[in-house]
Amino acid sequence: MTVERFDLAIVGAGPAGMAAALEARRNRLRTVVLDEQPTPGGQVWRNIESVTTRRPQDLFVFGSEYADGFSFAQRFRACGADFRPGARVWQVEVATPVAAQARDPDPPGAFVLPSGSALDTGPDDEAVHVERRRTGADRHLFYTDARGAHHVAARHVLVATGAYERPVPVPGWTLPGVLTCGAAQVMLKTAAMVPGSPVVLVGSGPLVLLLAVQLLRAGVKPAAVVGTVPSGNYLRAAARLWPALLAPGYLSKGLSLIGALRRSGVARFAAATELRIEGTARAEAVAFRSGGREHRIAAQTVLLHQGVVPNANLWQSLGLEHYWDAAQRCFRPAVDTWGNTTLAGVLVAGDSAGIGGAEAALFAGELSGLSIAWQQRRIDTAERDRRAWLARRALKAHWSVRPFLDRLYQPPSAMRVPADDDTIVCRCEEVTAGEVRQLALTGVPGPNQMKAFSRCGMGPCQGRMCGLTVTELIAATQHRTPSEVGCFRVRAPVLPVTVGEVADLERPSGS
Amino acid sequence: MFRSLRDDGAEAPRPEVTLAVDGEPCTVPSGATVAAALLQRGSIARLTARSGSARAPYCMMGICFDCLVEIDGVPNRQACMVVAEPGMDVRCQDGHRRVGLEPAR
Repeated sequence: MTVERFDLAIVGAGPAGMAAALEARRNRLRTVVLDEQPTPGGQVWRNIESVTTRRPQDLFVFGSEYADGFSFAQRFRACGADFRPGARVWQVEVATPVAAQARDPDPPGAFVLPSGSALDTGPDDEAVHVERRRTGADRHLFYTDARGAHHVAARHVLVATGAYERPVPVPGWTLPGVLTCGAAQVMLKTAAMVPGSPVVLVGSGPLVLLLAVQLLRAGVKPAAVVGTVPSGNYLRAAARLWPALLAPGYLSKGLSLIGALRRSGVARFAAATELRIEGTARAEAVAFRSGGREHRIAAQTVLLHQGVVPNANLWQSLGLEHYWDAAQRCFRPAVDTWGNTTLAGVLVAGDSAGIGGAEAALFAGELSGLSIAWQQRRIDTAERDRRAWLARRALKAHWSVRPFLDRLYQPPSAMRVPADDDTIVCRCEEVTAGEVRQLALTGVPGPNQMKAFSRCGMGPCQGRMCGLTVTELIAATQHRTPSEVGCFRVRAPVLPVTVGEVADLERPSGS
Repeated sequence: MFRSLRDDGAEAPRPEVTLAVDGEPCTVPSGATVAAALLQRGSIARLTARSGSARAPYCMMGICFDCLVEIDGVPNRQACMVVAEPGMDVRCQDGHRRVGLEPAR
């Protein structure tokens, strides 16, 4: 069986992936878009088509920004990209089989990389890159859907896997009844369900405010909203307020959410510390300190949130050059302004490259689409730059609010580095903060050795839930920086795949 | 536990699917995931392989792998990534797998 070939394969049909697909299709690139959800929209516009057409009476719950996603999803549906929903990509392979190189129809030199992009990988890798550029070699993607495992090839891959909520390792966070704020939003969007009362929201970030207001609109009054922003954050953020004022709409939106929450009369607590969730079989209460007093609030549902972090496993499995972002407290891939990475033919756009939000992701995706069209010679440099001008300006405006938000909502260290030794860090293998700390004290040099000694990061989630915590715990214990400590080495398959699925893969002819 | 937005009963019924969770019938809106059914019933998804403690859906977006359940006899399915279908048989996953014994029931 021959492998399906495309000019561009996009992983993720959220804002960045859809915008890139629109741009790619405008320039007639054969484009396939793989997304694990049944419909386009990503998490921010999750289920937007169905909500708009089948239960429009609920749109007011989510607000106009959600509703705006419908027209975008419609344009994406009509753009001519081959959209494959329910497709979970578990491997991207950049090495080219010899057989594939031999029959590659592209003439040498057809594949040109942008000048000035971040592609300095040193003399050792240079020869490999030059070879790939000359052959225009394919990138191979492997994914599973309801029908089994599949293999497609593309000249360019855009990773647009978005973000997920930062894990919140506090005592009791594994109890049934504890979910993330985003999970409650998914329930509203996809199942028209709301959490049973009493419900308590705990954490910091725009999503806590947004969800609280959405629940109020849906007729659920939270028992409390417990803020965890330490008072010191306000001062640090204030220094970055000026550029944030130029960002379109963010601050006014935030203030209006805060106003709505105030008027609702929901009990609010600020600068909470010593957070723990109590309960035996299920969550029963949230306990914390705020305003110099101990509090304990009964809760059937506890919704946690400490901001979002890049959904990085796929690009991490490619061994891209990356760095620690000290303000966002996460690892980000080294990319140029178009999203090009240190690996030829692989780009990362949107929140998976660093948290900029949905609107920034739209423009980042557009720029990646333009760069790919240019690299494949569908547009010349002048047209690329002319068309990029507006997107770049918009992207810059949306990013200008980030230094402020990153500092204001940076999780306190107690939420990232659990002080209590019994707190579970790795939910899959049930490894505690105490075990990680103890091993760090004995001199374990980094997360990968920590994995070998403790099994943390070896469960089915493959380190998605404990990776950042393990990095920060080792760093804090050994008085090193997270940058020095590094992160788990992620290897394909990045999602569990059965031996049967791999065995059933269509093989490229001749290999 | 989660409940429908439509508990006031004022709305016209929407398409729904009925599946079985631990042998009990459970009805959710069409398009909802198996995890939504678990949350509606207040069911747990699995007992962990190491300590046997109970877990239920946490992230609802395929990241945390805490909602692993057995669906129609196939274990380790992420309930939040599977859309509920009529007649599905969803069961709690009990601890670690045991070689040579019957699958967990």
